[in-house]
Amino acid sequence: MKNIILSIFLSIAAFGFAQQATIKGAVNDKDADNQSLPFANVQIKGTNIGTTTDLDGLFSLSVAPGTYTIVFSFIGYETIEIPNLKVNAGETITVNQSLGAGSVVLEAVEVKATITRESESAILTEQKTATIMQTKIGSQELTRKGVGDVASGLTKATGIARESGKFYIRGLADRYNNAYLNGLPLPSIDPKLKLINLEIFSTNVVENLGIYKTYTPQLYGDFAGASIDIDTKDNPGNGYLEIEIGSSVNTNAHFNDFFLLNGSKYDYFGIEDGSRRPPSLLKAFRAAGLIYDSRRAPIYQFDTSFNPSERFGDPNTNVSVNAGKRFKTGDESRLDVIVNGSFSQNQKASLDGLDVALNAQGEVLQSSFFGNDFKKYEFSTNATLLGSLVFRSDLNNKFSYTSLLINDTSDELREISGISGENADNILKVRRGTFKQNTLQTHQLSGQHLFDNRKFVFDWGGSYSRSTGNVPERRQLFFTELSDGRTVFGKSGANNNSDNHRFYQNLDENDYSAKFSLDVNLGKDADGNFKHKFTLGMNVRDKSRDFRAQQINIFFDALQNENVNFNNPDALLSQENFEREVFHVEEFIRPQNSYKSDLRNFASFANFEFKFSDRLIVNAGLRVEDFRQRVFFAPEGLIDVIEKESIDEDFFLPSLSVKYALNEKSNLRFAASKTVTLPLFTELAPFLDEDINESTLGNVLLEQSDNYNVDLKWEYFPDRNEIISATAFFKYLDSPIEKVRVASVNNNVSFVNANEALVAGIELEYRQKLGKLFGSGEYSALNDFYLGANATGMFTEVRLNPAVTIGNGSSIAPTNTTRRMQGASPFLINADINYGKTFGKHDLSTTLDVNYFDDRIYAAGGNEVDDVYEKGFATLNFTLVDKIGEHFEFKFTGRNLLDPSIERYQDQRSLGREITVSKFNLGADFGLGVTYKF
Amino acid sequence: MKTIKLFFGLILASTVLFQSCTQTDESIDSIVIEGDTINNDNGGGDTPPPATNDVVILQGSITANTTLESSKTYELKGGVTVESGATLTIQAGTKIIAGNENGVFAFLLIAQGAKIQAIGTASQPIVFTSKNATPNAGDWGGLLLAGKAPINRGLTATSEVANATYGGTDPLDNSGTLSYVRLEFTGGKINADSEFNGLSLYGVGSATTIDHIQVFQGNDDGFEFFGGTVNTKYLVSVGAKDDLFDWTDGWIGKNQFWVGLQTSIEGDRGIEADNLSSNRLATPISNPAIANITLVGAEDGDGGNQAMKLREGTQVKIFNAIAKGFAKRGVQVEHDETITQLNDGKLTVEWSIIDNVNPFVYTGTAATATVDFLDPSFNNSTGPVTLTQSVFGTVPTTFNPSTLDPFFSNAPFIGAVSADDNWMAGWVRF
Repeated sequence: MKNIILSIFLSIAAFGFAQQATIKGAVNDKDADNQSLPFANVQIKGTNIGTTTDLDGLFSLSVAPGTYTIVFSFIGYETIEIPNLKVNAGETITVNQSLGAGSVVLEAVEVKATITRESESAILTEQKTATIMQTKIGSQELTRKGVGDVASGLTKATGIARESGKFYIRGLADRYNNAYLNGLPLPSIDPKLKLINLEIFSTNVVENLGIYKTYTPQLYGDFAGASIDIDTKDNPGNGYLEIEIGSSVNTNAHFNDFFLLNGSKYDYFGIEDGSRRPPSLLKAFRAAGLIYDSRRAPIYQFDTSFNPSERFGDPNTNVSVNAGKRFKTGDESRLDVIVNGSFSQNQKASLDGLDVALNAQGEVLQSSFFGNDFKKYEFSTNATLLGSLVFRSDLNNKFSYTSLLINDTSDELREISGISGENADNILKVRRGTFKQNTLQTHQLSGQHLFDNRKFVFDWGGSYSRSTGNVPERRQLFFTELSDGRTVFGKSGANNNSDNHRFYQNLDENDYSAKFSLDVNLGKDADGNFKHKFTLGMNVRDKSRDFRAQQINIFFDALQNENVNFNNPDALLSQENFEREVFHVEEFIRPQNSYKSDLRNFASFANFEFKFSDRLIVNAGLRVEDFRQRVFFAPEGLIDVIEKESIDEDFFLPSLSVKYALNEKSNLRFAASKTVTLPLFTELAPFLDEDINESTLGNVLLEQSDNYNVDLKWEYFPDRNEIISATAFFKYLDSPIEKVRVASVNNNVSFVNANEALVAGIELEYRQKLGKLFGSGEYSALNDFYLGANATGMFTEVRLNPAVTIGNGSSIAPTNTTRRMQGASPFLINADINYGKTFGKHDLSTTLDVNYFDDRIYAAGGNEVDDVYEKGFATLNFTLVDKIGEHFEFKFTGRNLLDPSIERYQDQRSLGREITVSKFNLGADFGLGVTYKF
Repeated sequence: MKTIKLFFGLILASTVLFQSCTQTDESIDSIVIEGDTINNDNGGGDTPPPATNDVVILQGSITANTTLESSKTYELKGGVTVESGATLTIQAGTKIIAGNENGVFAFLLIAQGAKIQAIGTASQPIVFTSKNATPNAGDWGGLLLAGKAPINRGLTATSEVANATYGGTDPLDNSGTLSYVRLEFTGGKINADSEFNGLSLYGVGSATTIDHIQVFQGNDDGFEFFGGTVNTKYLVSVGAKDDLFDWTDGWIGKNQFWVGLQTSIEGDRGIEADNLSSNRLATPISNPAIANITLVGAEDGDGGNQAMKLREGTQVKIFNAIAKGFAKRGVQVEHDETITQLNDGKLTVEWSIIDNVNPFVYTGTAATATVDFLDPSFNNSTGPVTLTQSVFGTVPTTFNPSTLDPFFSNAPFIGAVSADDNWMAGWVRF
C-alpha cells in the first residue's frame, strides 16, 4: 500500500517537471448556431497524438515542443487542417475552429438527420467508454423522442417506471432513489418523497441526464436504486430565444363539470393571497396561554367555506421561455447565460372511483366506510425559473452559478360516500378539499479548475436550498345520511370531532451542502491520454426541518341533528350561525403536530481508477460518512419535547467497479458496493397524517438499512444509436425500511425496519434501427424507425420479525412475515418506437411509447388482513413533433391513451380472493403546442 | 360586545398565567410536587375554580411505591404512568383532578407489571374529575389499566391512546384492585379515531379486582375492555357520549350488576361488542358472561341509539338483562361470523326483557340466523317494564346466576339494581 502511494507521488513529481507544450481550444458547430461540438476529433497530423472534444467542445493536447499540423474532423462534417502551428516548451497556444457539414458531398437530407442523432450516439459513446456503469440521456435524445421534461425522459431508460409522479427504478420505490443537480444533492419539493418531481425540469435546460445504477464514492451513501444527476446546460452557443405555448385537455376533467372548494383570487397562477389561513384569534389565544374556542370570541375570521363550486374548466395551458447567450469577455474568457422560465396549469379528475379499507373477512373496517362513490378533482400549477451563469476565465477555469426557483400548488377536492362500517344503516359522505403549496429555491455556486494539462482537475461547489411544504388550508366535513332520509353533519353516532375540521400545515426546510474533489491523472498511454486517475474529495451536508400543523375542529352543537344539504353545508355553517353561536369551533392541539428534525453528514472519499490495459479498467473507492439524524418531538402523554437521535453512525462504504472491453463494440462490467438507505424525516416524525380511510404515522425508531450491491453487465454497441445490453443485479438489504399496517384500532400505516431483504434481477435493454431487426439492407425505409425496449425482471423477498414495534410501542402483527418487498415490481417494461424523417421543410418525429409495471405491494397487512397490492397497468403515450423551417415547431401529444383503471387490491389469501380496495382513472390528455425560435 | 368578551377573557387568562409561575421541585422519581398551584383553565369556563390549599402535581413516571392521601388533592399533568414493579395506593376519599396542558390530556396509566390499589368506600369513594370550574366530558383522558392477559390483536398490541403495550400469556395477571371509584368528565380526543374511555381495561388479568366503579359523562365509551380475562361487578356508566359498555380484542370475563344510562345530549349504544374488527375470526374470541344488566337509552336526535350491538364475530352469554328507551332497536346481531356464533349457541341472550319494538335484529350478508331469541326456550320478553328514577327496578325470575359460577351473587331477578337494595347509594352521581 505504501509503495503505491509513494509511486503516485513520484509520478506526480515526474510529470510536474516535464517540459511539455499545450495546444488547446474549442470546436464549434457551424450548422447549429456555433454551439459547441462535442466528440469532434482533434489529431496532430503524422502522430498518434489526438483526442476528442469534451461535452463543451473543448480540447487540450499535450505535445513536445515543435511545429505541427492539427486536423479537426467529425463524422458527416468537413475535415479542416491547420498547418504550421509552432509551440515552445512550457507554452500554451489556443486554436478555435468551427466545423460545418456544408462542404461535404452528401445529400442534404441525410446530413440533417445525422446531425439530429449525432449527439444521441455521442451519449452512447460516452456510455461505452465510461469507466463506471452509467446511463446518460442527452438533451438531443430527449428532444428527438418528443420528451418535454426530465421525468418523461427518465422513463426511456432501462428499468425505470413512473406512476403518479413517483419513480420506481429497477422496481425499487422512491425511498431508494436520489436526485442531484450538477452533482449537488437536490431536495424534493414534496416532503413525503425523496426524489424531486422531475417533471419540472424542461429538457431545454438539461445538458445531460445521468443515471447511476451502481455506486461510486462521489455519490452520497444513500443509494440503492439509482441516483439521477441533472447537468444543466451551460453552453448556449451563439445564443437562442424560444417561446413555447401549449394547451391540452383531459377527458375526465374537461368533458365533465369541475368542482373545487372556494379559495383565493389568484389560484389560477398558483398564488395564494392569504384567503386560506388560520384565524388570527388562534394566535391571540395561544399567546394568552389558551386554546382557541370560538365561544369565547364568536368573531368570524374565515374567507373560505365548505360548499363545492364549479371552478376553472378552461383547457390546461403551459408557457415557457428559453433563452441563452454567450458573451465573449476576452480572448479565452466567456460568460454564458441561460434562463428558462415556465408556467403550467393542469386539471385532472377521477370519477366513479372506489376507496375502502377492508378486514380479513374482506368486509369494510369499522372505522371506515365502503366508499364506492368516489370523485376526485385536482387543479395544479407549476412555475419554474432556472437560471445559469457560467464564466470561463480561460479554458482551464470555469465558475458556475445556478439558481432554481419552483412554486408548485395543487388544489384537490375529494368526495366519497358509501355504507358506514360502524353502522350499516347509514351512508357516510365526506368532502375534503386540500390546497397544497410547495416551493423550492436552490442556489449553487461551483467551479472546475484544470491544472497542468488536465493532470489535476479540481471541482468544488456549494449549494443552499430552502423549501416549504405548506398546506394553507384543508377543509373536511363528514355527513351521515340516516335511514329516515335525513342527512346530518358528522359521523352520526360515532362522535369524532376531528372528522370535521380546518387544517393548516407549515413545513420549512433548509439544506446546505458542499463538495470538493481533486482528480489527479496519472500515466500516459501511447496516444498521450492519461491512464489512471486518483480522486480525493469531501462532501458536507446539513439539512433541517421545522414542521407545524394546526387544526380547528367544528362542533355542530345546535346543528347536530339538523337536516343538511350535502352540496350546501354553508347554508347552516354560515357566518350568521357562527356569530349567533349556533355552532362553534375549537382548536385541536396535539403536541405531535409539531416537530423538528435535522441531519448532518461529513463525508470524505477516495477513488482510484486504474487502467491495467486498453481492455481492463478498475475503479476502487471508499467513502466514509459521519452521519447523524435527529428528531425533536413530544412523545404521547408528555408535555416536554425530547430529542431522539434516530441514527448517529459512521458509514464505511467501499466500492469496486471493473470494466473489461471484450472487443471494439462490447464491454463486460462488474460492480460491487456497500451503501445505505436512510429514512425520510416524514417516516421518522411521530406526526399522524390523517387521510380519510388511512392515516400515516412516522416511527422514531427507524434506522438506515445497509445495502450490499452487486451488478454484472454485458453491453454491445452494434452501431451508432444502437445498444443491446443485459445486466444481472443482486442486493442484500440488512434491515430494509418497509411500510406496514399497525396493530391498533385505527387503520394506521407506519414504517419499520424489516430483518432483511434479497433483491435479484435482470435488466435487458435494446435499441436498434427497425431495418436491422428485420434483416433488410443498409438502407431501407425501416431504417427511419428506431425501436427501443427495456425490461426488468426482479425477485424480491423480505423477512420481518413479527415482534417488531414502532416508536409508540405498537406491534405490527404482520400477516406475512416473508413476502415481496413493498413497492417492488417483479416485472416492468418500457418500449418506444420512433419514426424520424425530413420532408422538404418539415422535420418530422413521432414516438409511441408504452410503460408497464407488474403488481406490487402498496402496504403490507397486519392482523390477518392480507397485503394490499397496486395492480399493474400500462401507460401509452403518443408524440408528434414537426419542425417547420428554422422558426416553428409544432407538437401534438396524446398521453395516457389507454386510460387504464388504477386499482389497488387486497390479496386476501385466507378467502382465496383479490378484493379491490381502491379504484380510479385519470383520463387521457391531448395537447397541442407551438414553439417559436427567434 | 363580542370584543369586550374576548378581551375580558384574554386579560383574565394573562392574569392567571402570571400567577401560576411558581417554583417547581422535581423529585428523583419524577413526581413533581408543586405548592399553591393555580389551576389554569384551558377549556370551558370563564372563571377558574378557586385555588385549593394543597394540590399535589403528579407528572411523568411513577417508578416506586407511592400513596395518595385522602387529605390532599392531586392533579394529573400530562400522562402519568405507574411503571412495572410499582404500586400506586390511593386512600379512600382521595380526590384527583385532571385537565389538559396544551393538548396533552392527563391520564393515569397502570402499565403492565404495575398495580393500583384504589379502594374507596360507599361513603368515601375515590373521585377522578375535571379540574375545570365548569367541567365537560372530554376535559381529561381517563384511567387505563394494561395487563399481560391474552388478547387477539397479536401477542401484544398498543393502546389507541397513551401508547400502552398490552396483552401477553398470563390470564391470571393482577393489576390490583379498584373499588368504589368514580371517573368524571373523561374522554379527551387524541385524533380523529382515538379518544380516552372512562375506564379502559387493556389485557387485564383475572386476578385483578374491579367493583363499584362509575364513569360519569365521558366523551367516548364508559367502560371498554380490550381483550384480557378481567371480571367486574357493580359497574355504572352514565352519560357516555359513545357507548356505555364496549369490548373488543378477545375479552373473556365474568360480570354482574351493570347499570348504563344514556343522556339525551349524545350517545350511541348500550353495549357494543366486538371480537376483532380487522379479523373477526381472531382468537381468543371475545366471550364474556354478563348477568343482571340495566341499560336505559335516551333519544339524542339521530334516532340511531340501540341497546346492544353484538358484532365482528363476538361470543357472549347475557342473562337477566333489562333494556329500554333505545330509539332504534334492542339487540342486534351483526356480521356473518357473529351470526354463526349465534347459530352455534355461543352467543345467547336469556331471561331478559328487551323493551323495544325491534327487540332482536339479525343482520348478516350471507349467513342467516337459525335461532330467534324470542323463542320461548330463551325465556326473553319484550316487557314493557317500568323503572323508577330512570334505572331502579327489577323483575323476579326463576333463573339465578349464582348457579353459573361461584363468582356470581345470588340474584334471581332481571335487572341490575332494585330500589330496595340500592348498591349505588352514596358513591354514584347522576
